[in-house]
Amino acid sequence: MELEICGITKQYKDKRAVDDITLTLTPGVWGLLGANGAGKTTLMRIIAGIQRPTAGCIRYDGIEIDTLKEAYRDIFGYLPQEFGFYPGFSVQDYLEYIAALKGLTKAEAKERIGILLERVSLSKVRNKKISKLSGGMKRRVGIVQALLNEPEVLVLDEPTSGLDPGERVKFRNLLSEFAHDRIVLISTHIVSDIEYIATCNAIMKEGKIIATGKTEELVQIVAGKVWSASIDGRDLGVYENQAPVVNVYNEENGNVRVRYLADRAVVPGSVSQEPRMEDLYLWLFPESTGKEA
Amino acid sequence: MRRLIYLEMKRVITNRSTWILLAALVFLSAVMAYFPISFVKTEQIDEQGELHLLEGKEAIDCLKQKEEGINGELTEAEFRQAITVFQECYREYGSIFPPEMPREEYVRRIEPVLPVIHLVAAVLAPEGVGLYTMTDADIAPEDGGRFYEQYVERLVLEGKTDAEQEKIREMSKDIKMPFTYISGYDIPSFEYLTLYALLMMLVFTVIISPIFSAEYQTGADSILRCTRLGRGHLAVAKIVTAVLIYFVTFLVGMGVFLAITDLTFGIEGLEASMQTVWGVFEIFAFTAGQTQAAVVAGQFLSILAMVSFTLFLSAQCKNVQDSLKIAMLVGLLPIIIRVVSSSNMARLIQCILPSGGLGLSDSFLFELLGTGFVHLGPVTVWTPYLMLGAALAEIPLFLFLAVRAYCRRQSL
Repeated sequence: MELEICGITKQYKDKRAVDDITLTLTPGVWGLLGANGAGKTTLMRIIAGIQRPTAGCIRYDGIEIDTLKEAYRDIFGYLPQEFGFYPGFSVQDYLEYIAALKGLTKAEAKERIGILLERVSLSKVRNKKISKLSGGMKRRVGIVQALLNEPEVLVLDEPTSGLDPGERVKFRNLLSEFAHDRIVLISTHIVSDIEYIATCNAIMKEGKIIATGKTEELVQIVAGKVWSASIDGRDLGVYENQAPVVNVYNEENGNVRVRYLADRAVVPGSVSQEPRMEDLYLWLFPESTGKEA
Repeated sequence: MRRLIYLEMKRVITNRSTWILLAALVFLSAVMAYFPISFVKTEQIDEQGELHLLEGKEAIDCLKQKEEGINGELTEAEFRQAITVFQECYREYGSIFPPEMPREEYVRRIEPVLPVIHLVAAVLAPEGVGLYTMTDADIAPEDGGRFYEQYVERLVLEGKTDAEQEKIREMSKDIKMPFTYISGYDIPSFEYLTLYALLMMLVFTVIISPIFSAEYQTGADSILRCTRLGRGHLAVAKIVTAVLIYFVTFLVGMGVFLAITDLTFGIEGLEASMQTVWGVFEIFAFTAGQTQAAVVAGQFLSILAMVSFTLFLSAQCKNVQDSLKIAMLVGLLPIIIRVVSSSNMARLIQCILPSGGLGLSDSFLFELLGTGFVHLGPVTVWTPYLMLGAALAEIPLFLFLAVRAYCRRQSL
C-alpha cells in the first residue's frame, strides 16, 4: 500500500502554492509540518482529489486517483481544516448522513458511529445539535466522520486545533491505534501533535518539501544548535535579538532559563541540549518567533 | 440512493427557515384563495324593497340565483333578450349603470343579464365602443342572431399580421359554439392562482439557492466530495430532494387553493366556456375547468423550470447570496421586460426565460387567454406554446448542468 505524490505543482494566478512535490507515503503516521501558508492545505486537498493540480498526479498503489475515482474515495477519509456543519442536524444525524455518502448500510453506520463516538467521548451528546457543541467537540465530530469508513488513507488537516490537552492526548492515542497498516497524513504546525506518533515527517516550506525523515533523523539537522542558559531576566531582550528563543521559564533566583537556537553558544555558560522537533521547526521557520536564524 | 434522498430530505427539512417557509406557503394558499371570494359583491332586494350589500360566499350564491335565467348555452334568444333589456333600460335612464339608473332597477333588471351584455358589447358593438360607452343606437335585438358569426370574424382580427390571423383561424376552429355560461367562477380566482404561483417561485428560490452553494460557502463540500457517493450521486440526490419538496408543496398548496375556490364558486362553474368568464376573444376551446388545469400545469412547469435554474445557479455560485440574487433577478425579469418593452424581441426573451410563465399581467394565464404571438423568422408561435416549450427544454437542461457544475467544481 502506498500513496505516491508525483511532481505535484499548484500554481495560482500570482502564487505557486505547491512546487513540484514528489513524495511516497507508506503505511504509518506521516506528519506534514510547515508554517501557515506553506502550502500544506493545498497539497492535502490535491491528495483528497478536491483540487486539481496544475501539474503532476497522485497515485494509489500505482493507479492515478483520477482513474480510481469512487474506488479511491471508498478507502479515503478526510478532515479539512475548516468545514461547515448543518445547523439542523444532531451529531447522530450528521454522522448517518456522511455514513450514507460513504456507502455504509444503516446497520454498519449505526455500529461504527456508536464505536467511534465512544472513542472520542461524544456518546452523551449524540442527539445534541452540532451547532450547540463547543469547538473541540465539533472537531471531534469531524474526526469521527473521517474514520467512519475505516479508510486506508486518512488525511487530517490541523486535526487538533481547538482541542484541549486531554483531548489531544486521546486523539494521538486513537490515531496511533488506527494507523496500523494504513496511511495517515496529518498536517499541523503544532509540533507536539506528531512528535511522538509520526513514523515519518515531511517538512514543507514555501510550497516545497525541504526535508523528510523520521523524527530522530530530522532533529539531527539542529544537533549542536540547541542551547540552554540561565540569564538575568532583564537581558532577555538582548539575547532574543541574537538568537531564536524556543522557550523561557523563570528560575527561583530571579534569573530566567532560556532554550535557544544558534550555530554557536551566544550566552556564556550555555549547555548544549538534545534537539527536539520543536527546535527543528523554529530553526526552519524562524519567522514564527519573529526572528531570522 | 433512496437512503441518501431520505437523509438529504431530512437535512433540508430540519432547517428551521425551510419548514417555516413551506408552512407559510401552504397557509398562504388558503389566504390567496380567500381574497377572490371576498371580492365578490352584489346587492339583494329584500321583501320590503330595501337593498342589502352581500359579500363573499353569500354574494356568490345570490348572483347564481340572479343569473339562473342565462345559465346554460347562450343562444340567439339569450342575446336578443339581453339586448332588449339593455335598450329598454338605456332609453329609460340614459345609462344602464347607477347612479343614472336607480340601484334597485339595476339589481333587478340589469344584473341578471349583465354577463350577456358584456359579451354583446365586446362582439356586436361598433369598433371602439365598449360596455360603458355603448348606446341603444349601437345595437339592436336582431343583432343577437349574428353573434357567433361576428365573433369569429372579430376574433381573427385580433391577429396583427396575416400570419397571426391565419394562426388564430386555425387554432380557434374547435371553439365550441354556442358558449356555455354557468354563474360562479370569475377571473380574480385565476389571477390569484398565478399570483400565488409567483410567490411560490420566489419562496422556492430562497429555499433552493443554498442547496449547493451553502456547501461551498461553509466548506462542507470538502468532506462530501471525498466520500464514495459524494459527487454525482449526491448531486442527483440533492436535485431529487429539491424537486420532491417542490412537487409536494405545489400539490398541497395548489390543492388547498383549488379546493377552497372550486368548492366556494361551485364545481359546476368549471364547465363554463372560458369565453364567458373572461374577455371573449380567446383562441382556445377551453372550459373554465380546462383553463384552470392548463394554468396549474403551466405554472407547475414554469416554477419547475425556475427550480431547475436555481439549482444550477446554486451549483455554480460560490455563495448563497450570489445564487439567490441572480435567481431573484431572473424570476422577476419577465415583469421588468414587460414594463420596459413589448417588442417582438422583448416578448421572445420574456417567454424563453425560465420564469417566463410566471408574472402578473404577463403570466402564462394571460398569454393563454390572449392572442399574443412571437415571430421567429418566418415562424409565428403563440406565446403560451413558447413558454411551455422553453420550460420543458430548460428543466432537463438546467438539472443536467447543475449535476455537471457540482461534479466539476474545484474547491478553491
